[in-house]
Order: sequence, then C-alpha cells, then structure tokens
Amino acid sequence: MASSKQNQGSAEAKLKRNGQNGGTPPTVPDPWNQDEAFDFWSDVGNREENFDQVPPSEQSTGSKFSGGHPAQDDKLAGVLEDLQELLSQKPSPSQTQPPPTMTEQDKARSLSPTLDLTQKIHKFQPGLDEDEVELPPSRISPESASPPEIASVAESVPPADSASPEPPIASAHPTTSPEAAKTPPPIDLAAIASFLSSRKGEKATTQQQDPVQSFTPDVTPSQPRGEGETLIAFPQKDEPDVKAENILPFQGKTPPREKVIPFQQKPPEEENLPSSEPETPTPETLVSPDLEPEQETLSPAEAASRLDTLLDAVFPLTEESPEDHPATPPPDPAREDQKEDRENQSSETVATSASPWANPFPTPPPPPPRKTVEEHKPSAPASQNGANSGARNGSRNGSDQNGRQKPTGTVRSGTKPFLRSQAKKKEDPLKSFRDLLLSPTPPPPPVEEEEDNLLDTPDLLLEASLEQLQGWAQERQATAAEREADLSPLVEDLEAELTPPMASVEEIEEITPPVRNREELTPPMAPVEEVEEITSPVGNREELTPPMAPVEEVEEITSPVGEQETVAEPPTVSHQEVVLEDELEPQIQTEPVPEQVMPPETISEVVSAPSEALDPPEMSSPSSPKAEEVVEAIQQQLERINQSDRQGDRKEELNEADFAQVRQLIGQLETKLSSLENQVYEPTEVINPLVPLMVQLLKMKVGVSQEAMTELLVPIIDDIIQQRVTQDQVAMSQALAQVLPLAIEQEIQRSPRAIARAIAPEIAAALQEQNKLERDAIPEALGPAMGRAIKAQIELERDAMVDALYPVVGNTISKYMGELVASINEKVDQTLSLSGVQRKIKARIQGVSEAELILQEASPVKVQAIFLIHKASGLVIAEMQPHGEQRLESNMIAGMLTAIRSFVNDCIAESGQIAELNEIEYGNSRIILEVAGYCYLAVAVEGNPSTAVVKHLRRTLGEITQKHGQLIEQYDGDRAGMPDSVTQALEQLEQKLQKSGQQKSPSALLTLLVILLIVVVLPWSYFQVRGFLDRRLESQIESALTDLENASYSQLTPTVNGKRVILSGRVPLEQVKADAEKMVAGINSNLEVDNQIIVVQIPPDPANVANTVAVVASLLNRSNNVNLTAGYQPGTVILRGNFNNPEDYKLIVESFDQIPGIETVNTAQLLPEFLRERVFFEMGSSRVPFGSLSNARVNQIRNFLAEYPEIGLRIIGHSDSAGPAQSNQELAMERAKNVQSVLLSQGLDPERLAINGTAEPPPEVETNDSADRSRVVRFELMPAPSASSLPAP
Amino acid sequence: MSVVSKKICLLGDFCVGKTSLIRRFVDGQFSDQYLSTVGVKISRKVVLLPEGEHNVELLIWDIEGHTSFRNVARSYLQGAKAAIIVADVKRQDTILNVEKHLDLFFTVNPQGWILVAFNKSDLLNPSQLETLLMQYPFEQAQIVDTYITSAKTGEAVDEMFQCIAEKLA
Repeated sequence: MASSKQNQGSAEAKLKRNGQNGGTPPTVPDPWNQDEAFDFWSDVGNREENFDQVPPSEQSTGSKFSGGHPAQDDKLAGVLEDLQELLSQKPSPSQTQPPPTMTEQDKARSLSPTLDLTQKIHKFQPGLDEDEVELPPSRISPESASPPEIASVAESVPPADSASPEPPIASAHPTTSPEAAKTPPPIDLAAIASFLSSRKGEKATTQQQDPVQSFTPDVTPSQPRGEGETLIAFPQKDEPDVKAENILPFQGKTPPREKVIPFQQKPPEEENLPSSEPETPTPETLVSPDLEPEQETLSPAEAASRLDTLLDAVFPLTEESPEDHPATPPPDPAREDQKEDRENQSSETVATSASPWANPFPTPPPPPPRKTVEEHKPSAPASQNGANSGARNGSRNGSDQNGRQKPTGTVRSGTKPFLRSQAKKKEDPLKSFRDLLLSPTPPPPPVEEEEDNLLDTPDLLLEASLEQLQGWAQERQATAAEREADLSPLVEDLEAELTPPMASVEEIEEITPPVRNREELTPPMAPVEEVEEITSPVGNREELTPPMAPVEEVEEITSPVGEQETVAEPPTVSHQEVVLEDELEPQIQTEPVPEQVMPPETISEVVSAPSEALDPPEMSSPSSPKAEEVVEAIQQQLERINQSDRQGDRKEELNEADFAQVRQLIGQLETKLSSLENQVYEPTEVINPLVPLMVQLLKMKVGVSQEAMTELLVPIIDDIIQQRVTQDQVAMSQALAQVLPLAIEQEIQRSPRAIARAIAPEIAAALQEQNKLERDAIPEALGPAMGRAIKAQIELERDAMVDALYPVVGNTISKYMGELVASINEKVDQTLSLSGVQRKIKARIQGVSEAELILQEASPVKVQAIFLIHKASGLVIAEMQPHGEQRLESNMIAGMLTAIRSFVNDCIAESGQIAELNEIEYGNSRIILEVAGYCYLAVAVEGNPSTAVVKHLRRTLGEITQKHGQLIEQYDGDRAGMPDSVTQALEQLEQKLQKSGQQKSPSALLTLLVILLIVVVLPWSYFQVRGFLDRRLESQIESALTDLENASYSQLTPTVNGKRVILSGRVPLEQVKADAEKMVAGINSNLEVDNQIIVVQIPPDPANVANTVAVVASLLNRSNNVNLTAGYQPGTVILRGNFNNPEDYKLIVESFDQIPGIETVNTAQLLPEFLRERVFFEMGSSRVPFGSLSNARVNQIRNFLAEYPEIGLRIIGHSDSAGPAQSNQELAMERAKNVQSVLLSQGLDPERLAINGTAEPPPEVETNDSADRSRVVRFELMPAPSASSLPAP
Repeated sequence: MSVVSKKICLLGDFCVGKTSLIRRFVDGQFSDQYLSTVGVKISRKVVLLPEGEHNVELLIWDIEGHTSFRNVARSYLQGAKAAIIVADVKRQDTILNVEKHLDLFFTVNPQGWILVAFNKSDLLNPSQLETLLMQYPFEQAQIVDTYITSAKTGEAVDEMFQCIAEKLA
C-alpha cells in the first residue's frame, strides 16, 4: 500500500529533487519540506524497488560476510568496528545510558543519544562538536575521498579485511573505553585471531551457528562481568563473535554485531532486553524473506564463495529464527522472555540472538559491529566513560550505542519487520512512507517502529527530517544493494534458495531498522551515530573511514553516502576480498581489522582515514580512477594490515591465497565505487538515501528525548521557518494555514488572556480594515448585540450610560426640567395668585375649609386607557382599560397614534433631530406618550396629571422594556405571547396615576392664612389698646371739667386721639372756655388741646330794652342841649329830636347802641338845631329865599358833616297840596334841588347830599295847617354813601 | 379563540382604489365619490379563519397614494407583515409603478408578503383582464398572488383579504 504510494510519490519526488536539489547537498534541508521529503520518500520508494534488489547486495554482502568470508567479514567488521568505535566513542556515554532500561531505552536514549544525535546532526550540518570537528575533515575527505579511500582500501582491503575484522573488535573494546581502544587492539587481535580461527572453522554453515553460540556464551559472560569487565570480555567474546560474525554476516561487522548482540542482549537484559531479543529473532525472520533479495544482491560476487557460509549461517539462523519467531512474534514477551533467557540463559539467548544478529549484521554489519563494539564498551565503558567522554569517546560511545541500538533495532526489526513491513506500513501512512524509504533497504519496518516512536513524538518536522535521513540512508543502501545486486545475480539465486538470504535481507532491514531500533532503544545513540554518520557522510566516513579503511575501502567509498551503503558496499568488497582470501583472510581480517581499527581509532588512524578519504574522492571522480583508487586504497590497507603483525600475516596469507579473487572483488568494488562516486558527485543521490535516515534519526531522537530535540531545534526553528518563508512564502503560509486556526483555538483555550493581549493592540486596526473592506459588515455583526450590550451596561453601571447618552438625551432632560420648573411655578402661582385668594374668600363664605376647596379644584386624574404600543407596527402589545368604561378601539387608536408619531417625526421635526410627540390634548383630556426602545406607552387621562405621573410612566416603561425588551422587539401581533407581567405593570401604573392625582397639600394656604391673620390682628389689637388708653384719658379730663359745668350751657366733652385732645361744649363766657383749656393742660401738659368750646350769648328782653331806651332817652334829655324822643322796636331804636351840640350826636347814638337788645339806632330824624330849621318857599316858587340859608348855617352843616363822615344829608322838598300833584312833585323836587345847589355852591360834598321831592306835606304838617308850612325843604340824616367823601375843612 | 393582530398596508398610486377596497372589505360599501386620503387611515377587521388556532385582526393602513412623502410612507410601512399593492387596470402607469411600491415595501419589510391587486376590474372585460394579467406577471418569492379586484362590485376583495389573513395566521 504505502510502498505504491511512496513509489508514486517518490517518482515525483525524485523529479522534484532533481529539479530542486540538483547536485547540491544543501538540498538536505529540503527534507523539512514535506513535499521534498515525500519526494525523497518517493525516491526511496523507487530506490526501494531498486533497493529491494540493491539491499540484497548489501544483504548478500552481509550474508556473504556472514557465511562466505568470515575473514572478510571480520575485516569489514573491523572497519565497521572502527567506525563504530569512532562513533562509539561518542555514543559510549550514551551506551551507558541505554543500559538503564531496555524498554526505557528509548527514553534513556533520548537523553544521551539525543545529545549524540544532536551532536551528530550538528556535525552533519556544521560539525559543531569537537569530535565532529575532527570528523569533519574526515567527512570531507570521505565524501570526496571516500571513493579513493575505497580504492586504497580496496588495495589494502585484503589485509585490511583481515585487520579490519580485528579492529572492529578492538574498536569495540576501545569504544568501550576510548582510551582502552588503544590497549584493546591487542586484545582484539587475539580475539580476532581466535575469531578467525573459529570462523575458519565456522565458515561452514555450522560456523554461523557456532559463532552465534560462541557469541552467546561470550555474551553471557560479558553480562555477568559487568560493563567495565565486559569490555575485555566482549573483545574476547567479540573474537568468537567475530568469528561467528565473520562467518555469518559480514567480515568484521558480523562479529561485532554478535558481540554487540550479546551486549545488547545484556544491556537489554539489564535495561530492556526483551526488545533486543525479540528484535533479534524477528529480524532473522524478517531478514529471511528480505534476505533473499538482499542475498541476491550480495551473492553475485560473494555468494559464490560465501554461499556456503551464508547458507550455513542462514540455515542456523533460519532454523533458529523460526524458533525464535514463535517466541518473538510477540515482540515484547519474546523480548522479555529473551531478556530473561538472556539473563538466565544468556548463552542460549545470545546464541539465538547472535544468529539472528549475524544475519542482520551482514547487511548492516558495519553499524552492528560498531554497535557491538559500542555495546561492549557501553556496558562497561559507558558506565565508566561519562556520556560526554572525549569527543572520540563520545563518538565511540555513540557508535557503541549505535551498535547497541542497531542490534536492538535489528532485534526489533526482526520481531517487527514482518509486521511492520507488511502491516505497519499499511497502518501508518507516514510509517509506510518511512517504511518504504526504509524498506528499500530492509530497515523500513524498523524505521516504522522508529517512526512510530517519532510519530508518538510530536515533532513532525524532526520526524520528517529523520525520515528523510533514513530515506537517504536507505536510498544509499538501496543503491548499494542495487549495485551489489547487479554485481551478484548469483546471490539472488542463493537468496531464493536459501533462507539465510532472508537473514541478509533482514539484516539489511535491520540495518536500517537498527538505526530505528537504536533510536528506540537507549543504545540508539549508536544508531543515531550511524544515522549521523549517514547524514554527515563526512563524519560518518571519518568515523567509518578509519574502520572502513581497515575493513574495506569499499565501505569508505560507500560510506560517504551512508554507513549502510558503505557497509553494504564494503561488505561486498570485503566479501569479494574475502572470497579471494577465503578462510584465512577472514580470520586475518578480523584480527587485523581490530588492530588497525584500534590504532586508527586512536586519533592517528582516524585522521589518516579521513585524509585518505579526502584524497581518494578526487581520484575517484572518474569511475575508472576510482576503481584504481579503490584498489590502491585496498592495497594501502593491505599494506597497513601487513604492517601490523597480525595483519601482515593475514595479508600475506590473503595475498598468497587469493589475489585474483581480491582483484575481482576490487573490480566489483571499483564498479561499486564508481557508482558510489556518482552518488557522491550527485549529492542528491547521496543525500537522498540519507534523507530517510535523517528522518529516522530525528524520529529516534524525538522518540528518545523530545526535550533534547526541542532544545536542539528550538534555537534554529525560527531561522528555519524564516528561511523557508523567504524561499516560498506561499508554501509556508499554506503549510501553516491549516494549523493556524486550530493552534489559535488551542492557545485561546489554554491562555485566553495571552491571546487577548496579543490581539488587543490591533483589534482597532483590524476593525478599521474590515470597515474599509465591507462597511456594513461590522455594524451588521455588532448591531444585534448592541441593544443587549447597552442594556447590560445600564444594569451594570447606570451612571456611565447616563453620562454617555446625556448629549443625546439632552432634549429629553431639558424637556423634563422644563416640566419640573413649570410645575413649581404652577404651585407658586396657585398659592399666591388671585385664584388662591378667591378660594379663601370662597371658603369663608361657604364655611368650608380651604383644603376641601383645593381638593375640589384639583380635578381628579381619571385614566381612560393605557396602551403599550409596538413602535414600528403600531400594534397594541398590552393595554389597560378600566372596567365599566366604554372600551376604546385599542388597535385603531394605537395605529393612529403611531401614524401621528411617524408623521411628526418625519415631517414636522427638524431633520437630524429626534423629536417625539409627548402629548396630545383634547378638552380636559390628554394622551401622554412616552417612548422607549421598540415600544411606547400611550396613556389617555382625563384631567391634568402631575409631573409625578409622568415620572411613574417613565419608570414603568423603563422596567417593562428592560424586562421584556426582546419580546417587545419581536412582537408580531399575538398578545397571548406577551407575559402577564406587562399588563400587570400597566394596571399598577393606572393605580398609581389615580392616586397621584389626589395629592395636593394645603400647607401653602395655611401659611398664607397665618400671615393674613397676623397682618390683620396686630394693627387691630394695637388700635384696641390705644383706644383703651385714650378712653381712660378722656374720662380723666371729663371728670376734671365737671367743675365748669355750672358755668357752661352744656357738658364739656373732651375727645382724646393719642396726644391730641379735642374739647367741645358751649359756654356763656370766654372765661369759662379758657378755664376749661387750662384744666386739660393741668392733667397732662403734653397733650395738644384743640379747644372747640363755643361761647353762647342770650337775646335781651324787649321790655327791658324799651325801658332801658326810655331810661337812656330821659337821661339824655336831661341835658339842655338835647331834646329827643326814642322809639323802640325789637332790635331797633328810632330817635327823633334835636340837639344843639353836634358833639352830642355821637354820645346819643352810642348810648342807645350799647343797650343790649338794640342792634340798630335810627337817627334820621335826630337833627341838630341848624338842620331843624326848614327852608320855606313861596307858593309855587322854587327859589330859595335869601337868608334862609346863611353862610353860617351852611358852615355849621359843613362842620357837622365834616365831624361825622359816616353821615350824609338828605334834602327833601315838599309842596303844598294846591296844584296838580305832578307839578307839586316837580316843584318839591325843584326846591330840594335848589337847596342842594346852594349847599353845593358852598362847597359841600355832592355825594353826601341826596335830594328827594314829594308833593306830600312834611310829616308833622297836617292838611289843616297852613299851606305855608307845606311849601318847605327839610333835612334828614342819612348814612353817608361813603365815608371817604368828607369835605375838606 | 385568540385574536392575533397583524398590520398590513395598502400601497399604490393615488386614485387606484385603495380606500375603496378597504371600505368594501370593512364596511361592505362603495362610493363613487373620490376622497383623497391624507396621510394614513387605519381600518380594522377581524378575519375569521376556518382553520387554525386563532383569528386574525387585520389592521389595515390605507396609505395615501401621493408618495411625495417617501419617508412618511416608509415609516408607515414599518412593522407591516404584508401589503397589498393596488393598481388601476385602466391606468398603465399605476401598474408599472407596482414595482416601485414593491421595492419600497421590501426595503422596509424584507420578510413581508405582498399581494398585487388590479383594481377596477369592472371597467374592463374579462379578456382584457386576462391579457393584462399575462402582460404584467409579478412573480417573486414573497408575492403571494395577483388578484383582479373591483371595489365597486366586490369582486375578489374579500378573497384577497382572506388570503392575506391566512398567509399571516
């Protein structure tokens, strides 16, 4: 399944790779890209197919090593061991770690291995670690030089083989303790010798088993010995193992593996042996099927020579394997059992494991030997050496770990391989990919396992990288396998025939898997190292090269690409060489290898190897030169081997024995080298195979220690991402896009605040952007929530909302304030205005209290209806109409009100302002409208509700809208859908309205009354008091005035007004009046007296007056000169007479005038003497007789008038009765006139002279008298017309 | 049986017979005298539904045909669940204006229902009406139906309101 996909993907991937990566190794980073990774995978897949063929070659090589040429195997193993050692030095510490727990190995690995891995990875990239630093040159050399090295190796190979096998062992020892590495070599040599011997014997089919067995026992001892001791023991074991390994798997690889196995087993026992054990068996089983193809590849050259051995090895393996399988199938239990077995039956288990290991190792031999070595080391050295022993140590340790891991991996692979390769591949796609990648080489299944672990581990990238690395390695292996397969068609036959090939296949698988296994297991350090080596061909090569050099040049050649490849290839070469050298060689190889390895591992060799490697690459560039170089390298190695005693011996033996074979092998090596060169020169090809390994490594690393990986990757990840972003922004964004939502979601769940903080600063900007894009989007999104949000805010913090809305609500508030002020004014007006006074008067008139009147005046508020109306549709949401009233058409009213409201809002209110219709008045009723939200309240009331009513309205409406806002908003005409609470609220409102109309207090009126009372009473009482005081004063004055009562006509009454006293009454005398005033002043001198007393006189008695007149007249007559008569009339005295003395006139008049009762005195006939005498005329004559009016007489008149200016003189003419009366009258008048003229002529005042004529005789003349007497002019006194006209004297 | 109140509007150009239709429906009367409606006139009638849980009280807003006060008309339309758009079969412009009224109504009430009434059908013979119907089909999702009505004869008036009431029930 997966394979097919992989293949498909691989093809594309290949294309991509080619296109992208081209020849540049940097393509490696691409593994990060999934696409590329897939490509790689795809390539791998393709290669896998090829690898299927190729791996056989490896396997075949392995098988060859194992079975064919143990010596070569040993050599190779030695090389491998060297590599392992180099690797192991690093891993060794890790190895120590791995042992802790096999099952936990993964975890254990995680720590140290991860470090190693990381280091290695670093090395791959930059070569960070010191060890790596050392390695780098070698790496560099290996890449370019590897081919040449191979060549040289090839040359020296034969000896190298002999030596190489040894070195691995030695390396194993040294790996255990890098320092010991030097020392171990001898041991290794011995061991190798023994191994060789044993192998020689083992070369037969039995040999494989034997080695295994030998291994097992070795292993067992190693275990008991303890880690430190084990080192030595291991070498010893290694020797036997090596033999076995040589026989079974590879030249030197097998032995180390075997050794490794025991170690592994041991450590697994210690740690988690079960895993290793099951793996071992399983690998075998797995290997068996896989091996067939691998063997095919391997077989071609080696098969012939090693078929037997392989067969032998395989058979036992197969035999054992099947046995194991049953046990193994349940990997865990099998492993556990195996562990136990190992622990208890270390020998047996080891044997079983060894056999399987032998098989797997052949293909992976290089790693396994390392592993074995490493493992050996780790067991003891690991403990001894710190995880971070010297760089070399570290590397060695790493290698050791790798070795352990590998074995474990192999074991697992053995157990799982079937499952994995078949089922597991199917199970996990990624796994399948990896498997495919790995599968080309057998590893895939283990890879899968690793992948599984990796998968378990979160870091996909790491996994991917690991997978890529693995893929690369696999590819390399595959290529190598292919080459081998090409080289060894025979192997195929063998594979087909023999089960052992299966083992080889398994081995191949194991090789790849071992990495995984290693990764998985604590020992993974070793696999990691391997992987690292693979990934960093240079480093690996360096590490490898030293071993490689000893082991085989081929390995070096292949090595550049990957260890596996190198391993695979070298094995083939070694096999070839072995074939040439035959039995002797393997032994020699095994022995010399360790020796070589030992020394080279010690710095010098390592360095030399890389240097060689460096040189060769150039040489190798041309395929033919490569071959030559390889040959040269081999020769050199041989020479080296020769140099070493054992090596020399062995080489000699080898040379003597089969140079031709060696050459053939060399030729094959050359071809392989050429291919390898091609691979080298086409970094993609080289890199590609590494890719899967990379992935595996990363997976392992991740699986082992996430933390370490994370620590390693953390500092780079950002760079990686950044670079990727710069490369292809779109792809990166696409890749991340899928995860982002989930990631954000997760993060939000995990730490919402952090997200909030991260997003917060840009939310505004984001909203603005969104606004630009789609203007209505945000409002539409927020709109539905705004209402609720505001409501919530109002509930939370009312004041804030009020503040915020104040500008908007300003109108409403101002209106409200206006109403308030108006109401206050109204109250003031009512209490103080005319209406108030009127009310008071009315109250007095009606005899009713004023409060009652006020109640009557306050028209009672009568609610006619209350409607809660939906603002938009005008439908009634709820209504309240008092019972018994004529019910209103609520919906009609509501509709019309709504229409009116709309009309007012739309047509009358100024645009931009929101004005509401608040009230509709009609007659004494009105409809009050209060709007809120989606509804408004219409209250039809009769009367004039107070402002408090409106407050109630608003409060009720607010409550309703807050509680049922949503229902109201969505109201659709079904009143039944509205809660009863709304109607109840309206009813309560109605009650409140009714009550509120009756709340008018008369307090103001009362105060007014009080004021009025005060104003009236005070002055009144004042006046009362003052009057009282006045009365009292009056009484005092009155009593005082009683003394004057006898002297007065009426009672004297005083009137007091303050300080003013008015006296009234009548008194006869002024004296009494004055006395009264004096008496008031005597009471209170401060009083101001207004004396209005009237003095009254009584009229005299007329008799008394007449008497008095008579008396006075008599008295006056007594004088001589006076002769008068006094007539009396009431109030008037008439005097007649004459007097002589003019002066008496005054006396007479005054005397009469003074008589009480006489008001006027008539003195007309009272004449002096000179007027008494009349002027007589002749008859009928008017002429004044001369002498009648003498001057003297005139003078007297004149003096008299002068003396009494108030008196005038009347001149009266008379005539006799003879003659007509008329003429008499005229005559009389004539006569008077003449007299007057005479007087006037005398200078008298005309005004005082009056004339009068009458025909009548004078009064005392009677008709009988002589007429003479009648013809007279007489004089009478008269009041002067004016006093002014007095004649001048 | 409860009564659910629903607001519906009558729209249409002036003098197409909106008020007459309402009067015919509510009062069963018809008058040839033309009295222009100013602003809005609201009528009410409860429509009995043969089926259903409640009757429908239709509050019919007769909106003046002079649409110069667009805004007013708009606010009058608020909350209307349905509208009857009336056109005069004798005046083609009124029929053409139906679209405008449709738009107006739907802008205010996107979820509302519409009935189209071709009024004064008594002034045309049936064949002409047929052609009219064919000529001006109003087919939208929310247009319930098109009626040919006559307020004078009462043709299809009750049916139309009944239909709308059932639609709103």
